[in-house]
Amino acid sequence: MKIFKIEDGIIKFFLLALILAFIVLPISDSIPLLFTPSTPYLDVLVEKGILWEYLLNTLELVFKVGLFSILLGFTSSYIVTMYDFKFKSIFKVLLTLPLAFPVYVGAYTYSSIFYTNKWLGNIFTGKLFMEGSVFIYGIFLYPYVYLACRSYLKDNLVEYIEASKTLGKSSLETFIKVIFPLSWPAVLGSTLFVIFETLSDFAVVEYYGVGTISKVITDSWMGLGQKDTAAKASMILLFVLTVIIFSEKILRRKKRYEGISDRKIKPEKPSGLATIMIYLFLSIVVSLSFILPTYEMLVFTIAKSSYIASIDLLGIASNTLITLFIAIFIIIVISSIFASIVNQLKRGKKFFSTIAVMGYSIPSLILALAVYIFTLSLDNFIYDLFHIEWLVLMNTRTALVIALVIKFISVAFSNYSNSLAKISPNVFHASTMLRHNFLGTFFKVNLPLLKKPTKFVFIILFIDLIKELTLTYTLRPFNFKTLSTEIYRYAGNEMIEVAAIPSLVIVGICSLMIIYLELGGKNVKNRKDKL
Amino acid sequence: MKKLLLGLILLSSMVVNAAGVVNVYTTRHYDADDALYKEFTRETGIKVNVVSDKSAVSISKLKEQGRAPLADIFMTSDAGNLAKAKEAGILQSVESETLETNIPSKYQDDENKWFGLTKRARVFIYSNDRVSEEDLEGLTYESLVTDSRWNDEVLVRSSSNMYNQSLVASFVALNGEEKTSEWVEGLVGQMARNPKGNDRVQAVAVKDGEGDIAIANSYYYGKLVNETDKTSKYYGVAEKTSLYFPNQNEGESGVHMNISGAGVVKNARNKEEAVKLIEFLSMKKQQEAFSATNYEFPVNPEAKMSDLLASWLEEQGLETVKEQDINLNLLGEYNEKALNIMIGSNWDTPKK
Repeated sequence: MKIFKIEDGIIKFFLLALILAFIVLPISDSIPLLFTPSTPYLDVLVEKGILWEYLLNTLELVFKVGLFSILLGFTSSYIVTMYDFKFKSIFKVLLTLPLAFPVYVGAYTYSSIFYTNKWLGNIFTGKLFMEGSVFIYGIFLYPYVYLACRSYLKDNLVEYIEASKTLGKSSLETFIKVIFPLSWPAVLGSTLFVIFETLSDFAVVEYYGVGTISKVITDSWMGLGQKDTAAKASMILLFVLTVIIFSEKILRRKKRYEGISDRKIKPEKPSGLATIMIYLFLSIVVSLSFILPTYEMLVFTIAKSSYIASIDLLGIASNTLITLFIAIFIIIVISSIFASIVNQLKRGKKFFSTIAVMGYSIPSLILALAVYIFTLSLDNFIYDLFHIEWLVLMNTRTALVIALVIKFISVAFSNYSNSLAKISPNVFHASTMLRHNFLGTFFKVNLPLLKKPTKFVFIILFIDLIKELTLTYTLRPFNFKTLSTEIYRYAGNEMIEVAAIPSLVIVGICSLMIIYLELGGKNVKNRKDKL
Repeated sequence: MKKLLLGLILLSSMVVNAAGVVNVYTTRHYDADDALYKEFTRETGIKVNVVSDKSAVSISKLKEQGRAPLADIFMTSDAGNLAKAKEAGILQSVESETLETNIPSKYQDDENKWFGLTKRARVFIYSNDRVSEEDLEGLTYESLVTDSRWNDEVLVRSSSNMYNQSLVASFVALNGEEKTSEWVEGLVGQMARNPKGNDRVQAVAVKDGEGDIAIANSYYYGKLVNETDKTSKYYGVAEKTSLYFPNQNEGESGVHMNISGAGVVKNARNKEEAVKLIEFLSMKKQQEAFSATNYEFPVNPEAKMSDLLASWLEEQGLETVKEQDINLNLLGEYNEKALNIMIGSNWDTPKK
């Protein structure tokens, strides 16, 4: 099949195959596990309808988290885009900062807040919010929706809104009939990312005692050592995910509504009542999503400051950073090559893009299991070949780095793809005419072009990786501690105050980076471009 | 110059390790342990590397590491876990006179593959204000689930916790599957709320009035007694609650006494050092330290339990603690069965 228009087919083919294998192989290694005989544990789950109940809980969780995030995220983006009011710029930044909180840190911090402020707990930890898990996922992940909608509203809806106003529709009618429906694609796309993150987490639902499919995976794998049961439960989760992604594509079958002109919306001054509502809403959101939890963490850290030395904060932090930088480096290298190749394909662009995104959408537990099995068999293979006693791969960061790369490669890939796509293909043609082959073009043209996006990509990856828990916890080697694993460990031992110390490190660094990006004028997470 | 420096560093690191090293995979997560390891290093010069993880994960990893395990010792806080480790084939037999002397046969594996180092009872913690002397009369594991006094009053943590699984497994060993299913279903009917939090959190809930009685491990009560941090939610809980050893009377089965312990990993690189460490932990002095600083019962008959623990016995009028008479390996054998019974009875969601 001739899908390559440009020469150097062999190099590109080789590189492409390598990258694909890298992403796809680990996952395929788990497939034999699906066909093992059932265990008594799995039988009980099925017979007593518990598996089904957990499945329903998972769907309920996804649905409610989605709704809650849209409520928070879309409303705030609407307010911030359409209206002008004092302190707006401060609010704009504060609304993105919840992303600095890993969801599990949010869960632990809030369990303490709910305990001392029972009234708050009563509102947010009932059946409606599924013991509090919906609240946690929603309040710390809504910025995805907020950011996506914010940029979308600003850039694309001017004409429609003006048309609506000209036709005499009130603000409310405009909102209901024009703005919200037209924003639907952006809303859906970003909510999908909220769902991905929700399904990738196992700690929050574990902590709040909600039975989801994640519980089955962790219980069977980490509780009973039954990898095959975990793999089978993973299939259910993957199926749910596929249905969700599929529904989203169907719901979004209308194309995205691109604005025609370059004009941005002019924010207007709100009426007296509207001003009060705006401040009320934004203050509540911002307090709950950032100010309150940060304050609580500061209080804990100060109270337990004696622990800072004994938990070896410096050692943990440096180990975290080393792993981080290795993974980021590999991701950037691979995705720049990958994006460059895909950019020049005549056909099949969408296929490769989907493969790249696959890693991100697979719930982390499943990916961890797959990579674990894969690395193990690779180690055994190496032993059979070379008879090295030491388990070369399992004892090092290798398995973890592989999983991190697979999971987050799409972040870099989509950014690079978008950047390269904006460039006229003539530039690459010119390079070929100057007798550079693919590699030459890559080094002389692509790399310099990608310098700017790389800075952005680096920060995004940094924030994502430093928060990451699931992959790190399950795939780490002997005696390997990172900020996230230590937070999980201390919280698991009901030492939440001590867990606040490494938590504060993560939230602090991520907040600074997010503020840097926000003030630098870029959209922090333009994840909508990935789909 | 650089080469010289590098060489010196390498040499010094070798010298430091000359005395040896022992690598421990442990599920125990108590500060008290770290103090004992430091003491061990001081006495013997052997360095102790510790990795903490969930039991099934450690067992699974060690099994897969097979011929080149990274740990020399597997230490865990439940006989069920030790039995599972033995079943997974990751432990090796150890011949040690010291261990045979220090640890009674009930608390070690009959094939010498694991050795108990501390004992902990799964007891009741009840409210001082709301539970009367009469309520305590004849209070047993069995009456807890059949007596209407305790309807909607029982607090216990989730089914995913090993301590509960072993408790249920012990009943399977003593009374059989059917009777145990009845017991579990009865308990679920008595629960005050959906299980959440750990053992100490159940005691906090007793203090807060969410239930009158909780099931928890004895050493956690010791931790509550010694909670000095006024800002902690555990502060003041011990004043409002008391500990009760069930099933101590004539004809009753005895309290569920579980152990934490260790075994030497098969193909361990530092077997000698590993045996030395386990022997060290079984000595009278260290046994009494476990009791004093982590509120556990010593397995070494020469070691005296701490004053705090003795006071618990005294308060209930007990000379000694009557324990269930079962082979602790059965806690591992019946573990999956126990978990299935618990899950099948909706242990985690009694209140939908």
